This record gives sequence, structure tokens and C-alpha cells, in this order.
Amino acid sequence: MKVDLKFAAVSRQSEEQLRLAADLMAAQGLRVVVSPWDGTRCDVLVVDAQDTYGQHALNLARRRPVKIVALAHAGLSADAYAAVLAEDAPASDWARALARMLGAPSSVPVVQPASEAEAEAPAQTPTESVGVPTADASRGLCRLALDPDLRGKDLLAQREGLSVVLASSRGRVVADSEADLARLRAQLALPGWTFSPVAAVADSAAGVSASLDAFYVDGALAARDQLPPFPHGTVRLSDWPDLGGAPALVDALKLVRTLLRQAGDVNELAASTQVDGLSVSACLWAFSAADLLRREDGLPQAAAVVPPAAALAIRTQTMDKLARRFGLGASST
Amino acid sequence: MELESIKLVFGGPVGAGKSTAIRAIADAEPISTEMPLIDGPMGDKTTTTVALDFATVMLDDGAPLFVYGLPGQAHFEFMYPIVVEGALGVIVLLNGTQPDLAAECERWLTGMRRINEAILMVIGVTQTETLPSFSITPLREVIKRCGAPVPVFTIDARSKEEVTQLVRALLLEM
Repeated sequence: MKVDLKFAAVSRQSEEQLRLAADLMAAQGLRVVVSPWDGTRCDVLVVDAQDTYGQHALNLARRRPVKIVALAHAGLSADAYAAVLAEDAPASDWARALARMLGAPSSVPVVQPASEAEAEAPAQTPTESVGVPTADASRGLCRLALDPDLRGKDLLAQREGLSVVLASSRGRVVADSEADLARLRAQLALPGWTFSPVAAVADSAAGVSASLDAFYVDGALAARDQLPPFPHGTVRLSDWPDLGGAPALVDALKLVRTLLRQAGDVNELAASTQVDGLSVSACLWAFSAADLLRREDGLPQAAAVVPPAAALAIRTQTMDKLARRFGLGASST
Repeated sequence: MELESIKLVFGGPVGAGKSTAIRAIADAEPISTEMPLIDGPMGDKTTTTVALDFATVMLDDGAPLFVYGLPGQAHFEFMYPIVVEGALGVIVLLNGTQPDLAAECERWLTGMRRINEAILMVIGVTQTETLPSFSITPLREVIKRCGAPVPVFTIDARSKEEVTQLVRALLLEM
């Protein structure tokens, strides 16, 4: 099902969230095409009804069978519209509202099995397996995870005048400053990146060096609402990611422990680790970009790694106390 | 099976940051056996541990976790089996600026497993923040060669949060 959504007089932020919402809805089999209103017919119009241009669009849309979504303002009557949302509503709210309006089931994005080859294909109808929509393939982290010419390679990564070196061969990210590192980490889920191969990573004295794995995981988790569902099915980790420099990422640690011992997909991993699906999906994007994930689809399940007999976990009060003391909550051992 | 005493050990060569890391997570100033370096300072390091470090971390019911730091000098190696016996595991700290880092990593992995084949370990590599040439890849290769997977993290030994992350990884290995 294709939905033509146009927007008029909305902020850039709202436009970006609308586009992200469209990506989220692709996972539910809805292909939502987002574009600026141009006076032509559409299925859904998102409009700021208090703007003059928005009112013009609104008046035209009301003559047609168009579902109208208005940005919330004081005094606005919600009854006159199919939905009303705040200007700063996140993508997930937009996706839920649109799904309700269009009669599609609204749920947390669930991974659909897909082959890597489908990553560049347009979204499919609900009866077909869903790959990663083309729009998502343009996001920095997604490109790094999906493109075999980028994944695991040494790259110069640039966006909006800033750059970092993704030295995958060393497991490091190198930047001119901590500030550059932080800014680009915050933009990992956005499009607009350029990646170019680096023949040799310079060992200059200047700059900062940090764990590439932590850079990806930190950036992915911060943008978990923006990332599409991780497309691959059953996966496993090949190595421990370097998460030392990201001590807040306790859930990622728990996920790593599980993924090293057994393969799983997003839903299975969320269930066994008690980590929410969005976070699991975000971590998998990061692990894939770091070239630490191995797919297990169609392969015999490897035997789970059994810890040495002397170290087998016996759930005791002592282990629970240790887990609490060191921020693992109830014993995760 | 309840553990009679709960013990955690930090190991690693001289200058890796063991004393610093133990101080970072201890509830009180650790008992330390530091003496000035005979041959003068090694960069920022002006003292060395001449026996072992000892500290406690209190758990929420008042039970102590005993934290020991093994001295890095080779002539103290006789002490290692005694200290490591009965420990939850060993956190091996390595200095990222060390030229023979991979060899040192292999030495500690095999050495600890010689004491106890089933000993749990995690590896923390310090002083990598201003070292663009550092690579974690050789360490991952050594770990694969030496047997069971072991977490290896780059950390700042002065950071309580980052040292705690090492402890978490060790607990999750259990």
C-alpha cells in the first residue's frame, strides 16, 4: 500500500521526523512517500493551520478526501482533523498517528527477515518480506552496516564540515577533538555522510583516539528511535566489542554476553536479555557496522559456549549483591 | 554454593595502572606498598608497587569484596597462585603504549591459565586515548589463539565508571 503524504508550512524538524516516521512505517508494509505540498492530490496532508500558506493548503485539501494532520496550537480544535500532533513530536508518535489513521497495526518495529541483497530495494507490499527501504540505506550507520564496500574498512567519514577516521582495522575512531567526536557520534543515524577509503591511517600525534565499537553503539542507542528495524534475521557476535569507554552501556554488555553464547534475532534477543527491542535493534546496527556480526540464517545452530565447569554460574545471593554493586541490577549472571 | 570470601584480582605488568584502577573503585584508600622507582620516573609514574595492593569494596549487605593487585615485577610471580586462588576472576591491565603489547597479553593469558585453567579474565588496555596508532586487533588475535574468548576493553584506569565496566564484563562471564 502506498500513501502519498504532503506537508505544508511545517518546520524542518517536523519534516525530518515525518520522513523518519515514513521509514518506520515501511516495516509495517506501508510505503509512505513524503514530499512538500504542491497543490496536487495526496492522501495525507500535514499542515500548520496557523500559517498563511498552511491555511491555503488546508482550504484546498478540505475540498478533497484528504486526511489532514495539524500541528498543535493553543485553541486548535482537534475534532476538525484526523490527528493533531505537537511540532516537536518524535518520529515514533508520527508513525503511530499515521498508522491509526490509515488503519495499519501500530507496534514497535519488529524485524522482518530479509536478505542483504534486498537492502537497496524499495519497500515491498505487506505480503512480501520487507527489506531496508532505500531511504534508510542513506543513513550513515545503516550504510556502514549494509554496504560490504564500507563495512569493516578504514574510512574517512565526513558530514557537514566535520570528519573522523573510522579505522576499522584497528578498532578505533580518530578525530581532531572530543567535540568533533561527540558531534559526529550524535549524527550517525542521519543521512548526508560521505565515506572515502583511507589507504593508511596516519599516526599523527594530534587528535583523540577512542573505541570504534563504543562510538557506533553509543551513537546507535542515542538514535534508537530514528533507526529502522535491523533487517537481518538470526545473528551472532564473533568478538567482544570494545565497550570500555562507554560505561553507561550496560544493556549493550548484557546483549553482548548473550550474542556470544547463542545466535538470535531481535525479538529472541529482547526476550532473553530483557532489553527493549529498539535498543537491541540499535545495538545490532552498531555491531554490524563494526563488522562483528555473523549471520546464522539457514545454518545449523552452533552449540552455545559453555563456561568452564569451575566458573559455572550458580545463582546465589553473593552474585546478586555483586551485580547490584557494580550496576548490573538484579543478577544478570 | 556460597563463596567463603569474595576476591577480585587485578594483574598486569608494571605501569599498566593496576594501583590506579583499584583506587578508582575502592570504597577507601587502598593499602598500597609503593616505593619510589630506583631508576627514576617512568613518564608520569614515579613509584612502583613492591608487594601488592589491597582494597575493599563493600556490597550492599556489608559483606566485603576483597580486591588485590598483583605486583608486576617478575620476581613476585611466586605470589600469583596464592593470591589468585579462589578469586572470582582476574582483570588484566595492559599499558597500550607498550611496544610488545600483544606478547605481554599472551604472557598474562597463558600465565593465569597455567595457575587455573578455568580462571575468568577480562583485559583492560590503558593509555590509548592519545595514541592514534593503537590497534586492538592484535590483542583480539592473541585472545583467539589462546583459547576461550576474553573481553578486551580500552579504558582509563583513573575512571571509576570505566574500571567498573571491566568488573561488569567479568561478572557477565560467570
